[in-house]
Amino acid sequence: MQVKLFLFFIICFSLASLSNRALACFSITDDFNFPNPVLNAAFTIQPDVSPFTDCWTGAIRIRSDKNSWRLVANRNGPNPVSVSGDQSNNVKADDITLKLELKNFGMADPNGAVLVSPFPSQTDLSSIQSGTLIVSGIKRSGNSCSVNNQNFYKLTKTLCLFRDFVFNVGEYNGEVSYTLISP
Amino acid sequence: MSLKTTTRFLVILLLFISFLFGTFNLRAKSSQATIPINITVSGKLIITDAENDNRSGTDPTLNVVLKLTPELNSSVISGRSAIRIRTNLNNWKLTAQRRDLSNPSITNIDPKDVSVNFTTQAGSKANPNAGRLISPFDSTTSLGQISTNASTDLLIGNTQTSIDKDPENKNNWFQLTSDYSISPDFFYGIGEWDTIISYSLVSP
Repeated sequence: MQVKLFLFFIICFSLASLSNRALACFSITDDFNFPNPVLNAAFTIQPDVSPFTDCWTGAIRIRSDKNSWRLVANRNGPNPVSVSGDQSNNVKADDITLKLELKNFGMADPNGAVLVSPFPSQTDLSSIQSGTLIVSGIKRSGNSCSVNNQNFYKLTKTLCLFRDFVFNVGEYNGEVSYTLISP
Repeated sequence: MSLKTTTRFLVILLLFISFLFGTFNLRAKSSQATIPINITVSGKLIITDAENDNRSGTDPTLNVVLKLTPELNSSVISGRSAIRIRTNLNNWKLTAQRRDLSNPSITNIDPKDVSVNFTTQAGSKANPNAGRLISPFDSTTSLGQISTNASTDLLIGNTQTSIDKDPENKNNWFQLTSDYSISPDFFYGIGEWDTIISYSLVSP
């Protein structure tokens, strides 16, 4: 009986380990290696006489065991919620600047993935629409598949919004989702 | 095949299927990141000194000094102050209240003797019609029209002051200029007469 239990636990451990490998080999995680991350970008702005820009920065890690992969993004909003005033003065996607930075870590080849135009330069959130190609990967990130492996591409996003008196008072909600796909 | 062997085979098969199912799910689930974006824009009402239109010039104290010596045929003595208003609120007003510091009996100066003319103008990124002067302040009047007992409505705004984006918040000002003047009349006694006019920008 003890032998059977031992074998059962060995099998479970192996399966869990294999699952982790699968997770780590073609995955998006946050900086804490947590899969399927949700990174909240929150801005609370109040205009003032001086020029102020509020920025938010977040990062994701991309691991791929495939030589051909892509990161695409979809955007929703920002949509006004309980906002009054001229619609032309609502906060819009093109008011939010977007800067992306892609960096390789560990064994990930520095030339294995590139940001696709217009994202190598600073742009704004309106550049992301539906199924917009952000990163094109031509090499896998490394040969290790452990969940904490240090071979990955890191995509850092910085969103900025200036505190302009022109924006209507209220709340605006939106969402950008990134998906890792392989043909 | 014995029952024991069959059971063992089925258990292993079940575990294998579970593994495949779990793995595929993990592959699908772990390949996405979501960034919810929440933006909250708060209201702001701010007054600055037109001559010092930055953060250090907010809530200014502007001294207007009128020195008069009576003279035959001499012209009126005048002084000026200017404040700039910025707000992203669509409903605002500027009120004024007067507080006299000196005993008028020394100089015989009455608040009605000091005439005041208010004018408005706007920066290149501001709406020149953002605020409207309320009667009697829409034409030349006197300090006597600004009450000492309660706030007097001076300027009413029904829209935000900006008309265009101005990331530096430099040219989106709505300005109120106040021109004060008094005649150098021999009627006035020698001495000093002081008053304070407080302007408040509020949103009802």
